[in-house]
Amino acid sequence: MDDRFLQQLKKGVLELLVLETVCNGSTYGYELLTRLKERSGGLFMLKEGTLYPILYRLEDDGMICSSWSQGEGRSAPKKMYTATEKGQQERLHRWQMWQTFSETVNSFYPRGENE
Amino acid sequence: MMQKAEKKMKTYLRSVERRLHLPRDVKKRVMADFTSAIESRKEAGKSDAEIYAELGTPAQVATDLNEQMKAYAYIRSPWRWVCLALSALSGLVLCGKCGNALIMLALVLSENRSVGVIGGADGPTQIFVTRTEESILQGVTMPAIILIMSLIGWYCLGHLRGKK
Repeated sequence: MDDRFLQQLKKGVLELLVLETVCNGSTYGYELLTRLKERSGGLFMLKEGTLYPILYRLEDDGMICSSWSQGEGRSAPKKMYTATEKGQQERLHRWQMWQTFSETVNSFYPRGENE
Repeated sequence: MMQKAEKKMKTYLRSVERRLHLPRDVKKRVMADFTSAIESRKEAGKSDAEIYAELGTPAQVATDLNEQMKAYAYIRSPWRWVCLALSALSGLVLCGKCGNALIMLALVLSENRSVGVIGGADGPTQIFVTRTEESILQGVTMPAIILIMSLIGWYCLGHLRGKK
C-alpha cells in the first residue's frame, strides 16, 4: 500500500525533476539517471526504460531537444538532451504550480496529533 | 579480442531491438537512446560484463522497454479478426475456383488432344475453350480482390497508432 502511494507520488513529479535536470545543463540519459539518484539520495533510482517516455514526451512538446555529441576518445557519439526556451519557461511555471500544490497539501497536515 | 567484444555488443543490441514491439520510428528512437546508455557506461569506466549485468538480458531489457513504451506501441483493433475471417473465406473460395478451373483445363486439354487426332471438329472445342476462360476470370477476380483487401485490412487494423 505504502509502495503504491510512493510510486504514484514519484510518477507525478518525475517529469518535473527530469525537466529541471535538463534545464541545469545539457545531459544524456545515463547522466540524468545518475544525477537524479544522487540528488534524491537514492529515492529516484530509475531504469533506462522509465526515462525514455518522459524524455520523448518533453521532446515532442518542444521543451527539450536532442542532438548527437561526439564522445571522448574512441567512444561512439551519444544522444544529448538540451532544454529549449519553452522548456525553461515551462519549468518555472511548473515549479510555481508545485509550490501552490505542496502548500495546499501541507495545509491538510494534522499538526495537533503529531506534536 | 576487441572485435569479439564489439560483435557480442552488436548481437546484444540486435536481440533487444528484435524483441521490441514498437513502430519502426519509435524503435529507432529507443535504440538510439539505449545505445547511448551503453556508451555512457563504457565512458564511465564500466566493463562490458558489468554493463550486461546492470542492464539485464536482451529479453529483460525488451520486456521493460515494451512495458514502459506502451503508450507508443501499435493498437490492435479487434475488428482485424473480421478481416482475417473474410480473407480465410475468400481464400477458400479462391482455392475451390482454382481447383475447378484446373479440372476444366485438364478436360479441355484432353479433348483438344483427341480433337487433334481426329481433326476437323475444331469449332465447338474453340467455343468451349473461350467460354471456360471467361468463367474462370469471372469466378476468380472477386474472391482475389476480397482476399487482398481483407489482408490489407488485417495488417492495418493491427498497426494503428494511438495518442501518446
